[in-house]
Amino acid sequence: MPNASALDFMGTVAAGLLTVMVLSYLVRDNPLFRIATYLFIGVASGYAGAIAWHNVIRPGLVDPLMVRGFEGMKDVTLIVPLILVVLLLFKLSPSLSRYGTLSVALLVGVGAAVVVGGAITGTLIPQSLAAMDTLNPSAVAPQTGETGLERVLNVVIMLVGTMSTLIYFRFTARREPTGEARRSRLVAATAAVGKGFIAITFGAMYAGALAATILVLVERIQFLREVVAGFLAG
Amino acid sequence: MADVRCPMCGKANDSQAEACEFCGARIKPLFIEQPDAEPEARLEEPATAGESEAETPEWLARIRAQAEAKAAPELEEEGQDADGEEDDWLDRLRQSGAGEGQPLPERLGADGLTESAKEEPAPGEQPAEAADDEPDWLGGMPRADVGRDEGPPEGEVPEWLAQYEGDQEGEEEQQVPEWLARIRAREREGGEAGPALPAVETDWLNQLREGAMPQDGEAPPGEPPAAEPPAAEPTPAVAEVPMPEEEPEEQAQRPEQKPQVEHEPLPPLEAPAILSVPQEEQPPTAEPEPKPPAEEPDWLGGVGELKDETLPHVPALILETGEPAAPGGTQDLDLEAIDLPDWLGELKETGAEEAEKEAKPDLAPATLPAWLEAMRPVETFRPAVEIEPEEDQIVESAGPLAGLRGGLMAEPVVAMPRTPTIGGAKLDITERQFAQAELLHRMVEEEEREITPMPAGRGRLPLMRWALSLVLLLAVALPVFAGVPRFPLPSRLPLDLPALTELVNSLPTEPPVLVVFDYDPGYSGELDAVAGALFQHLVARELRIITVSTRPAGPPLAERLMQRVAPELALTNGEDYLHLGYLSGGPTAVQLFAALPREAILRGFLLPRELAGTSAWDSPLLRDVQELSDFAAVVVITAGTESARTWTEQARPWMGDTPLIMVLSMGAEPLVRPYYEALEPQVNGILTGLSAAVIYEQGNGRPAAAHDRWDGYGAGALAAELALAAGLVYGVIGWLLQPQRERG
Repeated sequence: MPNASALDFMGTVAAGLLTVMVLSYLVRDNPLFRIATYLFIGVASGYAGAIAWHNVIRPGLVDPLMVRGFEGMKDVTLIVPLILVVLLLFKLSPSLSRYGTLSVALLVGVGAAVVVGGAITGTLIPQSLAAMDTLNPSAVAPQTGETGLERVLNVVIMLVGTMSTLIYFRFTARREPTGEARRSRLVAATAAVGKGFIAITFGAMYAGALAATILVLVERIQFLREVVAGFLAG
Repeated sequence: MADVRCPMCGKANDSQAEACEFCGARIKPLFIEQPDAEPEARLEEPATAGESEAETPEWLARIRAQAEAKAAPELEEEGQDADGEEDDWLDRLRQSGAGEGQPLPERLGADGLTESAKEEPAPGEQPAEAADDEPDWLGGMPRADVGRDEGPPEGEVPEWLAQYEGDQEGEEEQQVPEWLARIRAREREGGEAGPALPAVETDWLNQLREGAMPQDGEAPPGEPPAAEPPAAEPTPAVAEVPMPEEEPEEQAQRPEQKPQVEHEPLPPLEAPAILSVPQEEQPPTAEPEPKPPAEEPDWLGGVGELKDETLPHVPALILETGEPAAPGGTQDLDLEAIDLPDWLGELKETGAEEAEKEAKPDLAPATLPAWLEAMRPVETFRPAVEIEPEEDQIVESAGPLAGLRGGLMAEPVVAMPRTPTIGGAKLDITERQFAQAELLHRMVEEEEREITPMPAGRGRLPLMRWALSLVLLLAVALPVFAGVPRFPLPSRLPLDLPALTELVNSLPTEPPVLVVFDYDPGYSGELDAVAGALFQHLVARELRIITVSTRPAGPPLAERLMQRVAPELALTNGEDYLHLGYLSGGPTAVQLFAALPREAILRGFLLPRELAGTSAWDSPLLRDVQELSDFAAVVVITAGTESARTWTEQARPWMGDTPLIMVLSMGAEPLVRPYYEALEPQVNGILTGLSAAVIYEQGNGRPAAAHDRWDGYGAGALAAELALAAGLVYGVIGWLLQPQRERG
């Protein structure tokens, strides 16, 4: 049985090779890159299945049924999930997939209700109240501690950005005698400002993604250096 | 009630009986209704009925009056002669049958038909047709069939016929059929002549032949219009045989026509009735010509064959009016010389069309009024029922129509889709709306059109990509491998970091801190370095860490980070930290975990040996944790905004005063910040970016991964900024070099 250091060395070498294979995409699309991606997808799927079995299905459904036996079949909290799981397995067969609709409907319905309810109570209402509170010049941000002119300027920028962005997504307009719908000059100008805010937001997000990517690349280069150093050190 | 004598055995039977109760012979004869004669009879009714006299032209009324005045005594005499003659030959026939010692039913056939015996006017003569085609039983009565084809007795040949035959003999010898030639030969040899026709008919018919049509309103004398229909079936054997059973009825209705029915002359076979009877010869109320034999439908042909077999002596077609077919000699009439009324001329012109219509009984197209035509739904109903041949039609098996064939099936009509009738009205749209609809239609068509694949040509080398990649790799690798260039560490403290460090310092040490690893391994290079600084702080404060993840790859990432944060401290699983593992179910599972943590996660990940076979909740670290608010803090490490929003929306309401800290990737930070900068913040602390992590590590006094990557990150960011600037300059120059009209 190989020792742990040997396994670590082999794992490090495999990780280094896979890193190089992925970086080979900089040249062009090639079989090495595809092998690495397929391997990653396969390993991730298999690992997810194993985690789902060991952390969810087995402790939640199989073990209780095996331990409790026939008594476990009388437990509604066990038999109902079992039925739903069996029905969901029918989705594997095109001819029997309709029997799994109940499970899928339950998943989708409950998931949608949870997401919508959370969005209303966790984002829409709190953020609306927060936007209104920012108009109070005497209020002090607890996190940033902004006061005075800095806060007023920040509130004005936030207000203008919020309104202009909302107006940008307002697609209704008055119809002119020629039959063409055209925005008024004020609305068009405000929408242009909103368009600028949207561009700045996306630019900031892109810059953050680019910085994160560079940081990941640095980590991979450091890993390769460690691998090379390990080979050189013997 | 009067009795009826059986024609077979001669015994008296009840008048209502259809068959003889003694011999079984049929008393009431069968009557085969001629389909083609029906419409003709209907057409004749207006002419024969008295109610149509008001519409009769004046000249025709005078003709009818004259003809009735002349024909009345002769018809009476002829009728008496015919009755006496019929009784005479019938008696002779019966005597002949009795003399041969055979019962009449045997000689007449099993069907009991007696028309042949009654109708044969000349017993003792040989039949004209070959005896081979007749059944055996019919061969026993040869004398009864003799006179069928030989015409009336000699003394009864009408004068007009004799004259006509004398005049046309030479010409018709070449046209008459063989059977008629034989009959005429026998007549010349002294045979019997046909029954006499009324003299009045002979007179006007002769006048017609001579072209002496009335002039100046003088109508030709003759029969009433209804008494002169053309013969439908010019079969001599049939035409000369009367139907005794019909005589009483026809006498009651049209007593003046009875003698003509019984003494029809022989019509020519060569020319069909429709061709041989000119329109000019018919009175104004003449019937439409019957169809020629060649145009008879198939089913009528079958009837004719059946008639020849079972009813050999019944005429194939006898019109209700009893009018014989016009002789063939009428073809010699000068049609152009006859002055016809206008309506009769139209009838002549349309005669062929009517005959064709009769052959093809298509219904005339209906004409809808304008208002009904406007209301008629257009293409709202598609006829789903097609008339199939009778043998292919389905026999109804149930219901009141059981056993009937050809019933309309309701299922196809109900099941076939129909064009919806609602909303079928045309929309009033403007040209602009029409143009927009067309544009949408083209867009849909473009979506459906399959784009032909581009031929795999020789691609250009991605020199630009190679150049940028090389620059970026060199920029990142040089600080890592060579240690140059080196960038100064950040000195400006981020605004969020003091609040975060203060928050962590204020956390109680007894309850554990829940750390959520909601990122994939691809972001570990960034988030491990950023979160490492926070972990150092937590470990420094001796806070115990409980990890969980909504992604399957999250628990291993948590274990990896815990091993790398403080290797010198040698953190122990189960004592310093514990992994709850994978939380499946997305937002729903997050809400469940926030409300009932012990119900959401049942086991754990990489549990220590002392917890083998049990749950992670049995660990001393989680002994006092029953809900989410029992944790000292909740730290969410995520690379996406969706995961941050999920934990904020679903878990924050269940956390109470427990602070929520977000360790974010730099790309997700802008969208999470509003939750942090609100007056009532939902996120209590944010840590993002490598610079903040470097400063955090400096504050912790333990330089780690963030410091190691700072130079490479700085060089790479600088290279990226230079590349972006170069691209911007290149674009601006290109835009300036473009012609003015192409700048847009």
